[in-house]
Amino acid sequence: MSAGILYYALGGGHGHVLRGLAVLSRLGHGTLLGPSALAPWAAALGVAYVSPPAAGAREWFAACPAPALLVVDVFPRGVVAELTPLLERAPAAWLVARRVREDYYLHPPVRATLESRYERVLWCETPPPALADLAVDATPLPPILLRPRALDRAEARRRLGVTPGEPLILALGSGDPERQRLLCRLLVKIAARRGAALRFVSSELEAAPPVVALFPAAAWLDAADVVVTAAGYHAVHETALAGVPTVLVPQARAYDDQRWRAREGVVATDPDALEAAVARLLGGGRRRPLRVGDGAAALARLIERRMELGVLGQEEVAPMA
Amino acid sequence: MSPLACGDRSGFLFAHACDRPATGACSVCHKPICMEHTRMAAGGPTCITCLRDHDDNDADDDAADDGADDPYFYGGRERAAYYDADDYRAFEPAPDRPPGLETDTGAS
Repeated sequence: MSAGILYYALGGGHGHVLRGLAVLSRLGHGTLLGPSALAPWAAALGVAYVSPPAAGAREWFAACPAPALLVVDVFPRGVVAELTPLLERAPAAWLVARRVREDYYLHPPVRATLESRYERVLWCETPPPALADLAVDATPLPPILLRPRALDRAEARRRLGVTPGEPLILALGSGDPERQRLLCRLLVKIAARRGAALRFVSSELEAAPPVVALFPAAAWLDAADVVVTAAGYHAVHETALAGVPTVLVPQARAYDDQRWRAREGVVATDPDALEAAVARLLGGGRRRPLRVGDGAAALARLIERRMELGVLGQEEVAPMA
Repeated sequence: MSPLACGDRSGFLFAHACDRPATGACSVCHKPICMEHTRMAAGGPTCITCLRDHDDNDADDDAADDGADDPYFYGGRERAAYYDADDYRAFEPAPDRPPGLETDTGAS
C-alpha cells in the first residue's frame, strides 16, 4: 500500500466501494480499502485495493503506513472506531458523506471526531439542515458515481436473453439476501401477469434465472423498461441519470436515509403498490435523464489540488457549490 | 446466422410459439430452450413442458410442490392467493442486527 491517497470504503454495502472506485479510477492513483469480497470489482477497473484480515484488523490498521491524505467514505463503524489509529497519524483526513440520519453525525463521539480529526466533509447529497453548524469545512459535490459506459439497449437485451419488443423489468437486489429472495419471488409473479421478462441483479443470490450477476449494473440500465430497486445511493442517482422509469422500495436502515432519498420518486411499500407502479411505468415511456456534474471527477480534482498545494483555498472549492 | 429459437411452447394459460433465442437445451427432451422456459431440475436444465409432464405423471411426489411460486405451474398446482404472506414480507425490515454503530450494511 502506498503512502499517498488511501480511500477507506470498508462499509457493509456496495456503495462505499463504488464511490471509491469512481474517485480513484478518475484520479489514476491511490489505494482503495474495502471488503475482500469486492476486490474483483477493483481488479476489473485497475484500481489498487487492499483488505484487512478477517482476524486482527485492529493490529492491521495500527501497522498501516499513514497516507498523505485519508479519504473516508462515511459509514458508522469506521469514523469513530477502527480508523482511530490511522486518523491519529494521517496528516489530513476528508470525509465523503452521503445523506444518513442527522443523529448519526450529531452523536457526541462522532461529532467530536468529525470536528477534531477531519479537515473537510464532502457532501455528495444534501445534508440534513441540523448539520449546518458542524464545525468542519463542508464542500457540496454532485453525486459520486462510477458512470460506466452504457451498453447499447439492443445489445444489453440480447445478452440478457430478452427479445426485441418484450418489456423488461430489471430489479437491482441489495441488502438482506432473504428480502432479496422474497422480492424476486414476488416480481416473478408480477412479471408473468404483466407479460414482461424479469432479470433480478444480485451478487448475493445464486445466479440462476431470473437472477443475474452484473457489474457494474449501471451499464445495463438502458436495457430496462422499468427498474425496481431499493433507494440506495447508487440506485437512485444512477437510474435518474439514465432516465429509466424506476419503482423505489425504500429499505429501513440504521442510518442510511432511504425514505428521504426516495421522496421525489415512485415509491412502493406493499405488493399491490409495486404491481400497480410497475404496470403504470411499463406503459409510460422513458423519463428525462437527469443532467448533473461528475462528482467523482470533481473530488479527484480537489484531491489533486490538495496534494499539490498542501491546503485548499476557497477559490478551489467555491466552484463546487 | 440467426440464433436457434426456443422450442418450448408453454404459456401461462395457452400454448404458443416462443420467439426468444435459445440459451441451452432441455436435459429430458433435448430441444433448445430460452432462459424463460428453463428451470433447474434434479437432472439439469429442463423445459416447462417436461416438468409439467413429470408433475402429471407423479402427482403425489413431494417434489411436485417445488416451484409453487412459478406462474407456469399455477394452473396445475394449488393456486396461490394473488399475494401471500411472503410477498408482504419482502417489504418488511430485515431481522434486527445488534444495535449500535456497526449496523449500517446494505444498499448505500
